[in-house]
Amino acid sequence: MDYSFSDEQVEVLAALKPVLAKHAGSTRARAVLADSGIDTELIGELAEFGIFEPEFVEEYGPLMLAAIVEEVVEHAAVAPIGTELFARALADIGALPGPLALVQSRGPEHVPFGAQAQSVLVIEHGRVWHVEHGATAGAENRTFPIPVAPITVASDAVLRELPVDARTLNAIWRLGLATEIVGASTAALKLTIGHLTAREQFGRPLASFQAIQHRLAEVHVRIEGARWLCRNAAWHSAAPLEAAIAATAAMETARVAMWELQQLQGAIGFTLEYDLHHFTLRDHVLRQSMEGARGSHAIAAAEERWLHPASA
Amino acid sequence: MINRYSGPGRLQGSYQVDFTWTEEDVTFRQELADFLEETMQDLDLRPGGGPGGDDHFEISKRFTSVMAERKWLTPSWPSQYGGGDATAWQHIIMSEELWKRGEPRGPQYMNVNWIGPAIIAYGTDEQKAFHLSRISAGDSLWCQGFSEPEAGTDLASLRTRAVRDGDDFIINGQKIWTSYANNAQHSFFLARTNPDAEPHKGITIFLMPMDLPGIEVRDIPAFVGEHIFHEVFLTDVRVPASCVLGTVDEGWPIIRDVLAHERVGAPKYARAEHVLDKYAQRAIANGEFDKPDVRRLFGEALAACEAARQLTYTSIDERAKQQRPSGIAYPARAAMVQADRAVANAILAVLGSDALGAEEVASDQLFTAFTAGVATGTYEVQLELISRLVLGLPRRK
Repeated sequence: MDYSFSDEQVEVLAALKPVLAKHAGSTRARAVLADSGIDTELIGELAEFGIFEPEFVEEYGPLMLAAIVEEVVEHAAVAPIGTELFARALADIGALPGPLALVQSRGPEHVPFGAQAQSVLVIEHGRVWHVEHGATAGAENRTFPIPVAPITVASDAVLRELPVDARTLNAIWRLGLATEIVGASTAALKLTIGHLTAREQFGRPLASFQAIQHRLAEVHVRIEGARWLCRNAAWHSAAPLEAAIAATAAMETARVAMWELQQLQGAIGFTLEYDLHHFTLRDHVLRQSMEGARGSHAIAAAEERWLHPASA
Repeated sequence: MINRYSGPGRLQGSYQVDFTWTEEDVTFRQELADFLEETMQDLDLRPGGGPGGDDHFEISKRFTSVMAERKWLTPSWPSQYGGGDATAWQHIIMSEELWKRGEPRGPQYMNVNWIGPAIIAYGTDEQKAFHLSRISAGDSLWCQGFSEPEAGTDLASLRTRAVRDGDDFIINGQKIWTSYANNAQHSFFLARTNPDAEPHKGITIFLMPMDLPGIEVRDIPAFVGEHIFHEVFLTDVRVPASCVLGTVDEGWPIIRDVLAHERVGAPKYARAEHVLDKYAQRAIANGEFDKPDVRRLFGEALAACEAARQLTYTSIDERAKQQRPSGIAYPARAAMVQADRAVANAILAVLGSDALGAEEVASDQLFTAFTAGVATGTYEVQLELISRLVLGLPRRK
């Protein structure tokens, strides 16, 4: 057991920061949302950096992907970085053009970046299929900091089976969503702490009130638990039990962070000029995805733990 | 980018996140588990329970003597004091395996986790010679004389007085909520020796025998278990000065130091998860587990336990590397409380009115979850420490 990053891993993360400072951030996010709805330029920069290369995972391990997703989402990147990065590294899906979208049925099912997806994957009869023809995206919703659209797979769609099973791909997918929640919630908590420390009311910083401190501390506890569970699951290459546990913890993290941090920032937190919604509303989208808010990840965790003999 | 960092591999002295146990750790856990399965068959311990009343006390006495024979009572102590130089990771493995079996060491887990280490760090040669061999032989029962009627969470405001009188101190005052005081031979006891100093200064630690004249122990009946809480009244108790641990008036820094170990010394998530496992098996057997709502509750409770485990491990990692304890243990403690509640909520929701049966061990989990947020530092204290030490939030001006 060891919970410290190696010097090399720390260096990689440090080298990533200036890339994100230059090519991501909330100003950039606003521009992308007003335009295509996906930051292909940033994805290109990250590809240049090397994170999508198989050698990168071989060199630094899948754990590093989790740390990178956290960082990228903290910088408000308008891209499905979590699912894209984990799926490319851990699932045998070939060179399908990205971004990928995954639906659990023929839909319509709302998914992040549904309108931008270049490849739609559908789970049917416990198997994973690439929809070669016949997947359509409905009316896009840009209310949130990442776009969402309903995907429908037509009854006469042309499907090609992929050499990955549903259990594996779902585990990878939920780990991608969960790790994004860690990044988004971290950024939201930092913003809130900064705001409440600077803003004085009743002659003292709001963050000096115990009633507020305890709630911030509880959000922190949720985030850190989810963070290490996601890293653990990533380290185990998104093993189904570990990924489901991480996603379950992330759902609760997103729920608590979204309500508490939006509440604690008051009216400024609702404005479009302020950055909080880039993170709290991303939490919201991620939590609703894959039916997480309905408990799908928790149910998967219970089944993996107690019904699958291999992991019992 | 890749080429830039594809160096010679791990740099010397650097760490690499690694979520696997070493072969030695796996063997250690397996041997321990085998030993416990064998030893505990005849102990008849309720898996949901924790260290507590008289029945538990008798069991723990038998159990710790067997543990001591096997040299497994104080494995993480230095070998010169009867320990086995086990690693910090083996220490938590041992705690997990024991807690999930109802902590058969009873109160002696405290001896091993922090009372012994405190004596090793701050004790005189005489104190070490007397206490450490008894603790590692499983022959020593302690209670902690901390809380008072007017000093609970605000421990530093304690009032029990110790006044120097020749080679002795005369102690007068009252302690409350003292677990194990009914059976303890010694108390790790705090008293005020300098009433004029600031609250945190002027407190002295005594390794006080509990059979001294003037000590009276009274039971406080409570619904969370029998003989869990006591009041201890001290009237002109004469304690030899040789019982002082460390320096007179300077007990507080020692308390802070040794309790840093206590924060994660009791991995309650391991016990909670074990209870959850038992009830999951029961739910599978009676068909309840076919309901998605039930699976969801169990999955959520499982995640809460595993979050507490991960946070605890971040703290163990710090100890394994002999770093100064940061605030990292406090989120772990808070998460343990959340885990105990999540497990209680899950099993109570599944059991419904069946949870009210007289023989139902679900009550144990309910009561455990109630006490989890209060014992050894409240949930709110953990949040307070996170606010200050981890998040760096401003104090009130």
